[in-house]
Amino acid sequence: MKKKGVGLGVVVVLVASMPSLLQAQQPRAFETLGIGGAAFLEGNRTRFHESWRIAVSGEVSVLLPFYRGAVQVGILPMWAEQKTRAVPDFQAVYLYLGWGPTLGRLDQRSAQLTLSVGNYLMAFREEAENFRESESEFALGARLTLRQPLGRRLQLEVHGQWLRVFTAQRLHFLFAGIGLRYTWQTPAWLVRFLD
Amino acid sequence: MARTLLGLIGALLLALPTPGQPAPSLFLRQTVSAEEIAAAGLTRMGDLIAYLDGVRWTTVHGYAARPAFGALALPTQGSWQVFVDGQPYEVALWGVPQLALLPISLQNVARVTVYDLPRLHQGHWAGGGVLHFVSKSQPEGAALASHLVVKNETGDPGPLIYTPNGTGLRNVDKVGPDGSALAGYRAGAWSVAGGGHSQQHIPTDDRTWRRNWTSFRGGETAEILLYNLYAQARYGARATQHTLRAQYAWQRDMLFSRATARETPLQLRYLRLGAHGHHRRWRYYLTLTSKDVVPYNERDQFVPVDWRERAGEAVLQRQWESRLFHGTVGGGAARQVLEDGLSGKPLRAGAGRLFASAAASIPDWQGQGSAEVAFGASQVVLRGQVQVLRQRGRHRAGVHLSHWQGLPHEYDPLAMWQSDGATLARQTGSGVRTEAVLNLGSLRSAARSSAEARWRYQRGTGWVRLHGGLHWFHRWLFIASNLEYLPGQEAFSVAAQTGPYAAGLVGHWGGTAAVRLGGVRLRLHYDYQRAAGGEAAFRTAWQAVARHRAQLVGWTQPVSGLWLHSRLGYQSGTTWAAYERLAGATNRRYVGRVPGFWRWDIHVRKQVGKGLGFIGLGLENLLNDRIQLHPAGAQFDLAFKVQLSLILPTAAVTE
Repeated sequence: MKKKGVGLGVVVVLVASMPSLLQAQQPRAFETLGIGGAAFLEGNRTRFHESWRIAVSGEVSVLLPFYRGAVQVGILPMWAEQKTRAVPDFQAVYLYLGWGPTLGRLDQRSAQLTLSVGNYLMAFREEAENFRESESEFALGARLTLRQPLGRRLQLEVHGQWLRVFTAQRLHFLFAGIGLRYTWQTPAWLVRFLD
Repeated sequence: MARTLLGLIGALLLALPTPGQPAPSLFLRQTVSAEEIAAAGLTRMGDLIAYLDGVRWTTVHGYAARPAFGALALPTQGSWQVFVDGQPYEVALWGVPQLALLPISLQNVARVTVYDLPRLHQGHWAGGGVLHFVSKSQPEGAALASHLVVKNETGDPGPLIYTPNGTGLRNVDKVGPDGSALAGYRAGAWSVAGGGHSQQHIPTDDRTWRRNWTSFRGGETAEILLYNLYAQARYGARATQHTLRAQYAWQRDMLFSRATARETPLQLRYLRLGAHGHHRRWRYYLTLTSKDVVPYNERDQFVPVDWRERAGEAVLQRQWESRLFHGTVGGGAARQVLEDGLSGKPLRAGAGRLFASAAASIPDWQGQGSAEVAFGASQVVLRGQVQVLRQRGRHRAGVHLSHWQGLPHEYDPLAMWQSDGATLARQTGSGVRTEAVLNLGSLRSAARSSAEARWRYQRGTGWVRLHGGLHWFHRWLFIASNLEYLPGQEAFSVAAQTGPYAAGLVGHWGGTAAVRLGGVRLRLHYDYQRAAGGEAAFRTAWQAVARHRAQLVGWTQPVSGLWLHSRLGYQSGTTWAAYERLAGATNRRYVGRVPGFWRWDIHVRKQVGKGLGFIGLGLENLLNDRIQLHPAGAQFDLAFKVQLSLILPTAAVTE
């Protein structure tokens, strides 16, 4: 496993030296600003899911074109309900920053991959021994989004998302979601600040 | 692994014709620029140490790293000489450099130059190499730079702590928030600046925590804290420059004591006044320092450390320069008072020194030499160095010879202090017994002779450099700690004794290649060292220095205001002789042998507001390797780091 990882590290350093992958693309960075909302269902089956189920999950996010793709900042809250009385309910929020390339376009439709890193904040209903009521942990996500325009500024989005939380025993979530995104021109002062 | 490294070296050599990075001087190990520090996401001095090529590092709690050039000194003997803007800093405590006590944060460093060979540097003899920090220059008018960093190691229990699968899980390390701020005003030749930095870290490594549980009563969180405040005034005209600096720092940390062979929770109060400058060809510096060391918890008398050090030093030197010749002569005096609060018996030591250096060059050849005579503690010692360099076409080759003798208080004030009958700490109850029994008679000066050869080939700005050398340690002082484990008390007693003086030979070789592939700057370094001969005690102790150290660094700025950085490093395992015998008895709470590790870090940095601010996101230890280091520190899992910077005006970010 470690050898594979070392090899991956070397490959990443060398691949990063290919300038064609890292050059600015159209549209211009931060040119537009899209605010979106989505609802998600979680459906993975792991050891975690023997004790909890993710009842409801939603998301609010901001999407901006960036170099060779787009950046996305979002907040994805979720409510975990107990399946057994031995464990408490808890609420969690995934605060993330993501980047990813547009994979392809067909007519007005497009597909985008987003890789995200962020903080997974958890708040428990009761406190365990040697543990706090709230906890946060690093998390990594990967998402595929399909976009269908519904007008000049409005888009329908369909998401498939994988989320890995780096607790001592890793948590793995699989989400499917649907939402809307409204996009307009970014104010010039904000472009100047971000660029 | 050897094949992989050879392949990478080959790939870099093939790519040499591409324009790349400026090559450092042949006898300079490395220069790290502010841009590289920022791109790599280095925020603590410990991060920098772990980043430097060829430096073996050790740690007590996983984040503050202690350096050692493999072939120059043992990791527990900090022999590096540290400078900030030309002013030397004695920030070592118990022989271990405490770089966080420097009056500068890494975010305000313009560049760091690293010499890994003995040399006379800024009128100060540096037998173990030099680490020189140059701060960013102040822009005209008012300026402000502030930074905030938060880092967290992954692996917290999460919700599974409520299930049977989570039994025994505990929170893991949290670093920060670390902060720094520096404000200043400059009007022509005059400038003033003031600021500080703070660091905190909650170490949770089970072994470290359990070994120190008596100091963290009732499960109290072991929080490591540092507050460092500093101010300076400077006058700088064409032929004259004077800088006055004042500093106060308070630190609560676990420092490693060789006498007790373990980390010791304590508090340090550090006060320093310093002045340096030059007027025409005269240079000077003056320093006054005060260090007070007391227990971690004032109420806790389990480890009743109580130690005070007052020191002062003054140096004056004169330079001569012509087109072909450069020379320096000078002298200095130092005074040190060490006081043991337990015995109340102060120890006073004084030392003086005279030094001279000369350098000359003719076409294709350069020669340089320096020598110093130091006297103190009824001893006179000599150290000197000579180097010859020849340049022919794209090739440069050179030889460096040096001899170093140290006055006892220079390389180990603690040992000298204890040799006079003082005591590090006494047992005051059941549990940890840390009395150090040290009645040595008079200490003799340690000595080392070195020979180093280097070759460099440069084409365009891509270059490759090879080095190799031998270090003969004529007399080297060891503190041999005989640890006895007391299983009923989960503690140990220790009887530490210095000596014997041991002799040994250390050989090392390695190479660095740097190149630019497209827009990516790549650097590959490998370094090997081992004790090639000498007495058994020497060879045994030298196993604490990792044999192999390799690093591949790549970074790029694909578009203006965005930096991507990746680093893949390897350090081989080490054996700590003092712990080897205890490993089994203590259920591996003291680990004699730790394995080597790989470390892969990536960092993304984005500028916002045209240089007004920066956002950095980093992932460390992506391979999830067990980064375990002697004597105690550990990082077992992936960590992530978020960094925010605010710079006003934006010109302040440039050197």
